[in-house]
Amino acid sequence: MLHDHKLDEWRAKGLLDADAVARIRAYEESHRRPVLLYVVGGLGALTVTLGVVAIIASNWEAIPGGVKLAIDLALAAALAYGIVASHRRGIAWLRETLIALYFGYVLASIGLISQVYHLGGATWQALLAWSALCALLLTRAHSRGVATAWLLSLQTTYLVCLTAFAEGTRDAEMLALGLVPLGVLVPLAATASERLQRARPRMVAAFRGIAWTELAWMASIATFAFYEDPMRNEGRGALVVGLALSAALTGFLLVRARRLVAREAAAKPMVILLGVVLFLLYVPLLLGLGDLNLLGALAFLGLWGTVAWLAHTNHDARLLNTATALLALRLLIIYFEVFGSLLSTGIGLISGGLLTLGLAWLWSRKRREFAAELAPEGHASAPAGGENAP
Amino acid sequence: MKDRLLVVAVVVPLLGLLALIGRAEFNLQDGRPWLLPIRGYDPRDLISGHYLRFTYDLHPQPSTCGAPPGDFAPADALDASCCLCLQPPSEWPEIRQLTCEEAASAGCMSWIRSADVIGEQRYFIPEGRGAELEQAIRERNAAMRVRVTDDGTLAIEQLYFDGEPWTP
Repeated sequence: MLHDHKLDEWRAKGLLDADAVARIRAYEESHRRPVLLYVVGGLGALTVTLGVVAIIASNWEAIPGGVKLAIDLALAAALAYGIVASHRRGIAWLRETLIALYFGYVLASIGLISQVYHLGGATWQALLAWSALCALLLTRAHSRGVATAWLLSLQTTYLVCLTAFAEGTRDAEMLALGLVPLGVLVPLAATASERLQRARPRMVAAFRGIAWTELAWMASIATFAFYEDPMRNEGRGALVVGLALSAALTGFLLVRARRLVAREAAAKPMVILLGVVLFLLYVPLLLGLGDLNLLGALAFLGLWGTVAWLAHTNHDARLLNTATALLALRLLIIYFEVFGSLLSTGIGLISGGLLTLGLAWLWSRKRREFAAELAPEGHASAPAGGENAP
Repeated sequence: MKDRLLVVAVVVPLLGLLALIGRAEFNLQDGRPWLLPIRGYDPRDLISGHYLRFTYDLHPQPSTCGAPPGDFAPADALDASCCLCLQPPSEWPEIRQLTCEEAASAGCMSWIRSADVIGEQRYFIPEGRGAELEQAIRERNAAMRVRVTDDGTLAIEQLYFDGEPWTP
């Protein structure tokens, strides 16, 4: 076993005593899972499934529609039974796997029904039916993976519905564009619920991680509106509807900012970040700004500077590293934007190279400092050249 | 309690799938049959994957609904805001385009929304039959046998060539 080798090594180095090693071994032994059994069982099930799929596929055209649907419903019922049975036996990983499988299977079944009956409905109708039918099922899942799949599928459904709604007039297009951020803000607002945080901590973590990643990138992309206004003038006013709804949701999140962060000190940067994101998502597009390159660059730096501040106060080293790396990268890009014409000269190349080296050095130094500063209690004096050092 | 909620949660998708099948089956059983002529949606590319891409080739008689004929709009153009009134002499209907209120109350044998028959439609076909179908739809009189319920729902039943059903 891998941990046996490491335990011997740590004991030889004096990091663990013999008692601790014995306790760890006893713990691992009692929590050992029959991995080989799972692998063999999984391979067997996969082989049988592939065989059944191959038989069905080669005879697909010969199978009457009614028989296809009957088999489909029988398999769906078997999956449903499997979810309940695994839950009753307390096999959490199997329940979560079957829920994920059932979730995808329902969409495939909707596709099969529309194939057999030649239903000519739009894609958004199928996705909406799928989301509605599986909503209750997915609230019963506990794992981060299923929660991630659920949120991404909901957002896909929402975007496909908005795209269908946007077809037609320019006003409808602008209205739909303004409503896009709601697909991120609504799940983020849901994670502010204390009840949900207690009942589904992994779901909250998944929703929050996805929502913040998407919000940060949406706001980052929106800073390009300072460079060039991407919209023609007509219909811009329809964005106000999205702005009003997003502002209401942001207001709700501002009131509950403390619930969105792990530490009290991070509530203030969280409030500021929410305001910055709302501003960047709507104001440049509403005002039709353009040719304000410096403002665009400063907006990006302001956004990721606030993210870095939030990460620092919330003791999130990974996010802090990402934010500071993006800040350094953006500073480099600003240099090339401003002095791009110098790149063909020796001086320009030397100064550009020096700036790159300087920023890389500064970033790696600050990263070490932050790693030491944000380390958990008792680890603050970890050597700077340890595992986390670049 | 939690266990019961999980049971309900796994049963809801099953019931939903059954409802979708039941509705589609009801539309086919309950609807009145009609034959509507069709043609390829894009003459250069009739087949898309497992689907035949077609459009209904309908030419309603002078109507009380829709944009007036002009340089770019023929007299028998379909208007998405109108409805079509289907009347015998046979399964091949005579078609008039009316306002939807008129169509529902004008004693039409069946009526459908024009929007449902405008633009690209898709019909599932078996793999390997694409080339054969492509040739047939170009050279023969193609039609789609549909069923229309009393509330104007249109359900596709089967593809026809020269008045004969095409069997996959």
